[in-house]
Amino acid sequence: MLQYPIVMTNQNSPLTGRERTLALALSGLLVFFLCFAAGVLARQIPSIHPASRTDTQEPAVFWEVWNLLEQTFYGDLPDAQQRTYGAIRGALSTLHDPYTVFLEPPGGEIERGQLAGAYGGIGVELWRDAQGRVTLSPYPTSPARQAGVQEGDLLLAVDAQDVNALPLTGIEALLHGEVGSTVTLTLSRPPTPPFDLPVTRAEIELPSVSYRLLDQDPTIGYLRIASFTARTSTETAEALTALLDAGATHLVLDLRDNGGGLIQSAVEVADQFLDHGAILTQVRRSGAETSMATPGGLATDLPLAVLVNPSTASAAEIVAGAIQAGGRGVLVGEPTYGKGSVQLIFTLSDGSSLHVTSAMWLLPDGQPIPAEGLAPDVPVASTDGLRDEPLERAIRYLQTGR
Amino acid sequence: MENRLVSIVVRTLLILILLTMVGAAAFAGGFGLATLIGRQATPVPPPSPTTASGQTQVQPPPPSPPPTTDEQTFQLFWEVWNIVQREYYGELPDMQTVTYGAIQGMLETLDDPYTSFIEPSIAAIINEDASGSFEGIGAYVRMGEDGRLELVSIFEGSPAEAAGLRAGDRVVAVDGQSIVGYGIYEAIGLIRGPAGTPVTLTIERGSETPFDVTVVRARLTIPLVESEMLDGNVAYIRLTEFSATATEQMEAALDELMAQRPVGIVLDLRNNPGGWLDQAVEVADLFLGNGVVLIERFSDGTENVFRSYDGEVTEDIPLVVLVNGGTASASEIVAGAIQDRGRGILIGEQTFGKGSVQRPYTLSDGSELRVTIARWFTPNDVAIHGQGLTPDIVVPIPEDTPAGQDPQLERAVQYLLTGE
Repeated sequence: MLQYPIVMTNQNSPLTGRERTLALALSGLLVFFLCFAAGVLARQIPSIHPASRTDTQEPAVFWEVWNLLEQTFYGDLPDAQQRTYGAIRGALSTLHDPYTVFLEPPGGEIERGQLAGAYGGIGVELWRDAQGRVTLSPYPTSPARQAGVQEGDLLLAVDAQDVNALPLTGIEALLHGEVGSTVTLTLSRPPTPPFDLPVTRAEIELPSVSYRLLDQDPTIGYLRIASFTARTSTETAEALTALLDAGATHLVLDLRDNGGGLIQSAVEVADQFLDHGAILTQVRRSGAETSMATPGGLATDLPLAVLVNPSTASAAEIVAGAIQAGGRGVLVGEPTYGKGSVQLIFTLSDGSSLHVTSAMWLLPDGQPIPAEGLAPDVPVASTDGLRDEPLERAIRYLQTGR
Repeated sequence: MENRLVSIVVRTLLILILLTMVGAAAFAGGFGLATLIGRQATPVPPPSPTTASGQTQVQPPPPSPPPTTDEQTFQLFWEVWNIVQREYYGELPDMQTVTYGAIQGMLETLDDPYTSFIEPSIAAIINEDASGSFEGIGAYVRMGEDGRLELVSIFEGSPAEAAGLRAGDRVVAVDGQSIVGYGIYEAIGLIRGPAGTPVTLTIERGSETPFDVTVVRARLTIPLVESEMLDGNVAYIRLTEFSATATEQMEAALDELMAQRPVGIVLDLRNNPGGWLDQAVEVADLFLGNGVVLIERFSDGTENVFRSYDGEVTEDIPLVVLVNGGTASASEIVAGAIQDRGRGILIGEQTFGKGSVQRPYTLSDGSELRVTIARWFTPNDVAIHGQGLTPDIVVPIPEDTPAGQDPQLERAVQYLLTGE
């Protein structure tokens, strides 16, 4: 039986993780799941005919309402499909589980998205170097890269607005806009004098992993995972290999604003940092299953600090929790979101999908994740200022051991 | 004439239940209370209004099988629910809860707050209330923020009064069963019961130790009308809602007032959320001679014209109707007809603007469905839905109006005494 995980990050946001709003994070974020392929699904679900509905106590009163509306309602009745979707949403709401949800076929959502005006970006990661200058790392094949932005370019202004005094989130907001619109960057690439570069915004597929040696301390490799997709495990292995080759002797793993994704991907990533012990246990109706770390990870002994915040959720909490529980590394930042359930995703016969909470997951010590999230070993509040305080604190921790 | 419900939903029923304050208009019943909900609509299956007896329920049509295409479309529901039954980690609610949830979810797609589904236990209470009388102890209640049912006021001459209950008392248990945290309708359902039977309430009053009071339930009529003679020999009559006994109670009060030969009448429909359509027509008829009261139109284009007829003693006396933003639905029918036909003037504030008509259906399991079946229009064929009626003389009530003062009523009296 084909059973593979599908992506479920919080959003298909073209933005970098940090830009996600809390609302986005809370709404979608926290879901991980496995998805059964539709074909498998079709076999699994018994086909149901009206006659068999007596088995499920077909509620006569439902059809009474349905018929009365058809016969007497003043005004335009939504079509049967919309009413069915409404009934499904209403039935699911009686579970009082915010993670068990019904999603209409994506076609409708895409159409609505187009009507609303698609949201685009230029595909760069922003960071501040040791001098506090705004520095760009364009993603491969991004509009920024294609327009000529190079790794390490300094960003001076966006559409003639000086950005040096803005927080990174504010600069990112300036870079975003409708797909197809143009934004002009003023760049500095010493010794070249500052110059303007127009970039046309496009929908950005966010790479799930980015990395670099830190400008502040080139012995520290910085690895950021924005979400756990099917490719994250491979991308993480590549990133770790590159950082180690470049001479990294310490690691910062940035899981801030990582809303989760595939549980299997998270297990594989955690396994790169751990060589023994439990990563997590999933408890479902049919029983419990523990995933264990295996020897052979790429980064099982480098000093490790993990950055977390309240938008670190679900699959990201699995990784953070496994690293913290095994004493493999420290968590730096703010308490995490605290989501301990696992969803399965089903594609239904009409193309809509259903997320069903099907399991709870437990930390390596067998305890559920606290509702208030994982507590950081080194608490640091994030600020809206120009400095990335949690990152600075993680660097200091790796340099000093405390 | 078919009986239909014209009502206003200021808030949804659910919200009302959750609201800690149902407000003075909410009668709660167990205590003999009627639950005056923001008038979602009143229910009782109505009979022909002309015969006081037969309260026949409107029956839903026999459960004819839905069209095949709908059934096929609806298969998706079972596809979903089978997965949930197989995979969901956690307790599943019982099928009735799920069904009611599905119905509510389906109704939400209609985008019509007035088409609503009411579960059996609640439907029984509001239908009883809409009938104008009930069997209970005789008090208005509301749900306090602390989950305790509070007596808001006690009916005069009621068993509750005889047993010494007071406004402000809080009921924490009924026949030994705690009701703290119950929904208001659940609590009312426990307190109400057949006339002549006793019910023991555990009461909290101030800082006193909670004590038990036993009350013998009775059949009680919900008072809907308040009337008095004002200075200057102006008659004042207020109707709080259009329940099934509204016309009867109005007639009795008007007889008393007219016996005192008033120079004019103030009809106060402020904060009257509506009720039965037939009651609206009959109440309007008390003040109107031959003519149209309203036109009701259905989605298939057919229409009903409701008329008033000569013959009442209050058809000629100078008349002012007091209205405000809480004047809705059936109240707007009466006020609109009086205004359109030049029978009297409206004083106060813009009315709510509910021009749709709901019909209640009792379903096979005792729950109730109220369906918006029509729109109504004033005698001049004006739609008020979403608009409301504009008073002839707009008189707001400033926020700093001292308690006990009523500038709208004062203006109405002035108008009746001076003609301007």
